[in-house]
Amino acid sequence: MTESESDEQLIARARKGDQSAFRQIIQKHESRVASTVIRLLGRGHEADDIGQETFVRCFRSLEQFRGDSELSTYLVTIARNLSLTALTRRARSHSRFVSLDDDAAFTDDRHLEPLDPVDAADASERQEMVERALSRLSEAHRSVVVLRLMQGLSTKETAAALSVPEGTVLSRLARACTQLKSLLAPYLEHGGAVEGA
Amino acid sequence: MTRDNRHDPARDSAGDSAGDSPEGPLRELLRRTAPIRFDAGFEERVMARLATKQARRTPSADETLATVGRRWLPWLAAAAALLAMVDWRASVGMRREPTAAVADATETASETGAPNWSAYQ
Repeated sequence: MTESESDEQLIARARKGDQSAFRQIIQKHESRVASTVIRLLGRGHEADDIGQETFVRCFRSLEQFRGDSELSTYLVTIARNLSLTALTRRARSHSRFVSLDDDAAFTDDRHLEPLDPVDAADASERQEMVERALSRLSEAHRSVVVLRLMQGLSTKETAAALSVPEGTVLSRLARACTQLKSLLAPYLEHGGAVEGA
Repeated sequence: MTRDNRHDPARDSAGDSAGDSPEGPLRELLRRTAPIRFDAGFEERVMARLATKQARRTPSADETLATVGRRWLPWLAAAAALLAMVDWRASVGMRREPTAAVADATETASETGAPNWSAYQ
């Protein structure tokens, strides 16, 4: 079965021009790339565009890929870098009106009312709830949460990826966690995080 | 970038300051979310984009010839001009040579009193 092929085998076939092998690579890793891109940028045309570009760049660099890291890690790194570049581009256009360094400018506590836990009965609803909570954060705070809490980067790595001081990462993380906890409080209290998944 | 952050004090302080230790329920909740996928047809869109970019990156034979021509034609023209000039100079020198030889012979004769006949041979 081709589905059981390892990344190395798929890469070897793709290098020889086998398009079906590259299609399998896309199918296999779409989820991780999507998780990175959509959580950083939100759903939409831009996220889809960057997802496509991630795989195109991967394909172009297959010849140079030596397998020092996992293919999924490699793809996530490309996706993250492209997403952060897009965020920077967004911030530049946004900064004409609001300063990015002003953390308070991106948080509107008036809208951070807890989400309804009744809707979060199963995994898909829990997923939706988390996505809604993340979408309520500013881009600056969401990117810290995604890199730091969801992708497991250290504070230093997060600061380097976002080109901000470590102190800024810590303050944004603290504020974002407070907001997320208030948004997801009922759900956390109901123990939804421990069950399932 | 490494993901082994066990000895990163900044990481711990970040978690503590946020009231969210690495094993905290919030982190668990965020990480337990279901996998996200792009909209349907993503694979096809990637392949189409790849095909478009590859077509752009692979020039036709005519384009290759035109590129090579643009790159080398000026050099070829300059080399041809240089060769023509050298050839012209050489031909002018050949035409001038007998005259110069006569002048040399005359000069030698005036000095010695006898013509240098070998110069006329």
